[in-house]
Amino acid sequence: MAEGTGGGPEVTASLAQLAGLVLSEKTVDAVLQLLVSLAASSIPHTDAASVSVVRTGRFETSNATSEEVRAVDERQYHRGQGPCVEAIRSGHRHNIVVAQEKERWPEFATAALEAGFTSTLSTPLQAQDRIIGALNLYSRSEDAFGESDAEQAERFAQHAAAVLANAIDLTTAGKMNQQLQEAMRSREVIGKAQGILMVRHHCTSEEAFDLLRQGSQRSNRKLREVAAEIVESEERQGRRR
Amino acid sequence: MTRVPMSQILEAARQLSGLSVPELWWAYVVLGGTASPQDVEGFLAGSLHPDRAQYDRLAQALNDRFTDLGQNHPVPYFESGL
Repeated sequence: MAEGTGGGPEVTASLAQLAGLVLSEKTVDAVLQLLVSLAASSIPHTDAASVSVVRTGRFETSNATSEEVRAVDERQYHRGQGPCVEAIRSGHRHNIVVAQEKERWPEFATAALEAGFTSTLSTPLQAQDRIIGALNLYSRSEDAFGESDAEQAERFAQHAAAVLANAIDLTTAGKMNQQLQEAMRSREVIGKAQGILMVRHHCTSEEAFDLLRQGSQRSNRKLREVAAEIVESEERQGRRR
Repeated sequence: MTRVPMSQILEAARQLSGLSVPELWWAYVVLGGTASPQDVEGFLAGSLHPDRAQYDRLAQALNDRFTDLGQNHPVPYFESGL
């Protein structure tokens, strides 16, 4: 591929293709996977690419062009040291020659060099005023990435950030909805069981909770299960009456 | 006998259980707990003191989790003389 095209025809085509897919593709994960593949194939000297994200306070690789690059990413996360992590923390692009970072990030440098990666370029993914991840490019060429590569990476990063921000919102919303429904069902069952016990034992709702708690301890089952059993048994009796 | 502060019991149990503070809060609310996430953080840090009802729901939320982990109710309840 020609060097220094700075958003030349290939990249523009890639982005147009991506934009079209964002509209039609249902799965955000598939879009991100496509994006890392396109970044790796469009940006000169790029041999592998990945997207690092922060989820529930932890770093993780959401998508990568190979398991090898995923492994190198992960070597950075548990110690919180390396260019991907630093790009997310600082909000600044990190364009590095791996051999020069052996002292600053020894674990990352060792892992990257073992995999044959000698240069990396990590670009922060910014959604509104938050940094939500980084696009990481890995190269087997020494000092691979120039200013025009960084500009191309920036374009991909903008797309990735938009897709990812959407993904985070969707995932959070879906998960919250599911959790809320489960919580409401559990609370309803526990509340019903308390009511049944209050009538049976002429006790207060706190005393009824204590009975449930003791039942849970005696049978080594979750309180919700004990409550559900009481409700079911009452309903069975109610049907017989 | 030296009394171990409730907060230390809860926080140690939470760490052993692998639940994050938001996960614990959620499980506690499902059991009828009424304190805010910030208050629960305070209970765990020892800066706030739960009453019996709130303490027992936190203990139960942790014990429910320990049931999943194959342990039978290691977290003591309020009535056991905390």
